[in-house]
Amino acid sequence: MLYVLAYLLFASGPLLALLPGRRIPLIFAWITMTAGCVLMIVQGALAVGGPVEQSLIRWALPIIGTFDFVQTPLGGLLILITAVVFATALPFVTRDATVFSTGRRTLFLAIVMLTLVSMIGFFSASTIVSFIFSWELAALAIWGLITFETRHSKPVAAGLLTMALSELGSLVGLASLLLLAGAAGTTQLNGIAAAIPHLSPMLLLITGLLAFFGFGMKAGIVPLNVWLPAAHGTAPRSISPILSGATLNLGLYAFLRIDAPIALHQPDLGLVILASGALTALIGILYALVERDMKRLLAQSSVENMGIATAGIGAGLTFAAYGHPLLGGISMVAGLYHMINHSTFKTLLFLGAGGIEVATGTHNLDQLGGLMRRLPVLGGFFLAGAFAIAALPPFNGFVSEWLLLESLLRVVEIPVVPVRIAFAISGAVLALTSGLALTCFIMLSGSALMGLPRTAQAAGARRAPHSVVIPMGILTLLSLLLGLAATVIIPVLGRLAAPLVGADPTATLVPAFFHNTSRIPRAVQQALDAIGAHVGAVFMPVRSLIVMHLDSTAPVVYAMSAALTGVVLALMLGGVWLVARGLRRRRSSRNILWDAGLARLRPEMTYTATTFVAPVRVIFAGFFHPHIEVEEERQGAFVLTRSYRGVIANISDRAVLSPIIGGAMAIATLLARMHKGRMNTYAGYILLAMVLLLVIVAAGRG
Amino acid sequence: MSFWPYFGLKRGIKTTSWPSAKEQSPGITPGRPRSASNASSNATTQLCPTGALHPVETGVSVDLTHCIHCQRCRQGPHALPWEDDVAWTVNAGTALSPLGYRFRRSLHVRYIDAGACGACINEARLLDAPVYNLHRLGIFITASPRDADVLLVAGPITNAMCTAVRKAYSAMPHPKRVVGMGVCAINGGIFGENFACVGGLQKIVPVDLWIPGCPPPPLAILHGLLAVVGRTQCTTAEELP
Repeated sequence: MLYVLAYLLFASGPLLALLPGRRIPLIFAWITMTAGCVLMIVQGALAVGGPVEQSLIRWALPIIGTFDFVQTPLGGLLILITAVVFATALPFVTRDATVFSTGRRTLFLAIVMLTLVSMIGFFSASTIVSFIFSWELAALAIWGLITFETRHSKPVAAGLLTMALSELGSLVGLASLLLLAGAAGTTQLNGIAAAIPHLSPMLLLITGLLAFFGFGMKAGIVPLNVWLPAAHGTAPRSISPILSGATLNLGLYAFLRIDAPIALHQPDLGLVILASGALTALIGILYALVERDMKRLLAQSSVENMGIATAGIGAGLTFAAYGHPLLGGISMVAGLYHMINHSTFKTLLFLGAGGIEVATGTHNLDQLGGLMRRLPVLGGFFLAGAFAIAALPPFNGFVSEWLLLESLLRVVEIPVVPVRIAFAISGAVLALTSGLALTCFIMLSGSALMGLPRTAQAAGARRAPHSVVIPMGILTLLSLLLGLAATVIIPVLGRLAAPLVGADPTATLVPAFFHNTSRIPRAVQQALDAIGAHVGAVFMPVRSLIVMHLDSTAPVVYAMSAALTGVVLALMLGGVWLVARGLRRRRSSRNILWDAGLARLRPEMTYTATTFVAPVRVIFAGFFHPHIEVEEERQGAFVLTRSYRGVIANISDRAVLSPIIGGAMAIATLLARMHKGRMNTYAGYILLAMVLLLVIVAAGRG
Repeated sequence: MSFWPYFGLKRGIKTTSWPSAKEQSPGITPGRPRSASNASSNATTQLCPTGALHPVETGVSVDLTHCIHCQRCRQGPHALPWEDDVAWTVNAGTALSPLGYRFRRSLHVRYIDAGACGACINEARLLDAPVYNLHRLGIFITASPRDADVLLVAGPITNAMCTAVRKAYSAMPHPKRVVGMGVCAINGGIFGENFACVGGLQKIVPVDLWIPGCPPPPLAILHGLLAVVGRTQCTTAEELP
């Protein structure tokens, strides 16, 4: 029932926008669409806590087969996230829609709603037909969103690139699905999963890899990640939060849905997913570091975060395949947790970037600066988002990245050396990624919010719209809650991870015995006593997070307590406040800024984003392969102007796409030689073809 | 294979033990003229290119804040006696007492070259060399005036450097002292006061001590820095016979 009501509300939004008037119809449209999103949030929450499977639509269509939608807890979680992202992004979307004419704004809102509806459909799809149908619908809607502003050529080009790679990914993924369906004899996804233990390992590996790389394209998994910064960077500013916060989860969910049952029987697949995730994370953050455009930077950082979530999923599947479902559960929870976290803080940061664009008219980092003074509230929320994405406690990014790294260390339980090496390298790469992410977001917030305004636009920033600031506040709160209430979220995610890896890690992660000392298992009690740890209600008053493994000879315990973190943070803040108060009472003097004795400190003398990351560019110069493009303006033999521009091409572009395009072009050039453009030649070709055919037929007869 | 540790150990410690012992090495200072009851005082004073020598009733007086020790008054029939000491520091007139006990072995110095010819920095640079080693006396050069207790300024203070000196002075925390180094800082020296320079540090910031000389030798600079904390005593600028 909720679905029907929500869909009616979604549909009425664009219809209300058809009414005459400039603002009032859009306010009505916003109210109805937000109400629909709230209904979907409720529905998603119900589904997360609901039964394992609940049928929604069951159609048997002629020729193409069954077209079913079911409601599952994991799908419910993704619907919940999607609806939250849309609900927080809708105020900005409707605000930006006021500039369009009535027809265009209706179309705009209709495409936004189509995206939401197709995503909800995708997260409930249960047969190959409904899966691919919703996937393609979502791809089409996303393409519409990216290319909605067609005044410039950039969004059109980005939209075409997205569409091309999206279709490539879909075809690869579809090939995998068809292979599986052919081998399993059913188009039901659950039926395929049930048939997987009887299929050959080679087929499983091939289909698993095809599904991962094909569907993973939507999440920006290497090598098909070049479209992501182009698309999210050039999309309308109110659309980028939706694209990055919500639609990337499509890719994660798709390959998780297809590959999770396969990877349990094919351990190599999990390893590939883990390694690709780690590699994606590193490549994403490295390119984020050298971006100057705030939206492109955030998009590259989305690639990084998708990589981290993918690595968590891959590690979870590998652990499960090697018979450690509990450890697998921990990694899987970390991966899912990171997906949720990414949706909250990336929506927050993209809304912030949109707000800054409204206030200053630019999203180029080198033209911003000093915005904290002009936009204190937006700047504060933006800083909170940067804290969260850089994995600093008490925000949410910390919990998931910490869980993931801790769980990767437990690879010592797997006795296979290559697996250990793969885990160790992936763990090191992810740790490096975390450090680089911190650098990146110090650079982003520092060069946009701190320092001196570098241009008149930044100096004269207007007020940020409420439609951006208030949702940002909500998301900041959400991100703080997800960080502090980890022990409440993890049991929910543990339940979702259980069917994927075969065990619910909740008992390991959030042990109940912190409420009641008498419920500690005797063995655990002895092990903890031996290492001098005292546990009990007084020690950790709120349920605490713990990664513990007792299978091996030495007990391994990592503990993290949200309550203790809160207490320590409060103590630290209190201490700082006391010290600051004490210092203020003492004799102090106020002085000019020490600028090395300059006559006037000019903005162009200060640190820019480019200079801040120069060490990274130098260290990774071999990876970036920067080259300089020279443009010359000539008049006869004289060079009038010569301009130099440093260019860094994406490694996926360089290493994967360029050779493919080059090869295709070479073949095309070869074929073009046959085309002389003269009628006689073509007649000759036809004659030759006919003779050849006759020969073949005759040979076949004979 | 490098033998420098061997040669280094063999050579022994070459750091001077000044100020606890008198420095005996030849050429440690160019020396400076002392006043004398000279009969032909007019002839002597005309030797001086910077007007540091004045005839007085009893003989020739020496204004050490102008002397660039060109050594013209060292030779010839009207020569003045010269002296090889390093206690050159002169009180500049502010009534500030030396920095207290806490600074005796922790004095941080910010050096500013305000248009100097390079001789002063050359001598100041030697303070950090093994022979003089200012760290043994608890004196340190710092990069930022925010950490500095003493501002050590050389040069005739060109117009372009006025802002920098003023800003550096105001950026220093209290208590702070300013030391002008070289005759250029005192009165413009051989540059004087002209279209390009102010000619005199005290016109920009209040000055506590002068270290005259062109340039002052490293030990004279050390003497000045020690005078800031009261470990050495100032001398007088104008010597009367």
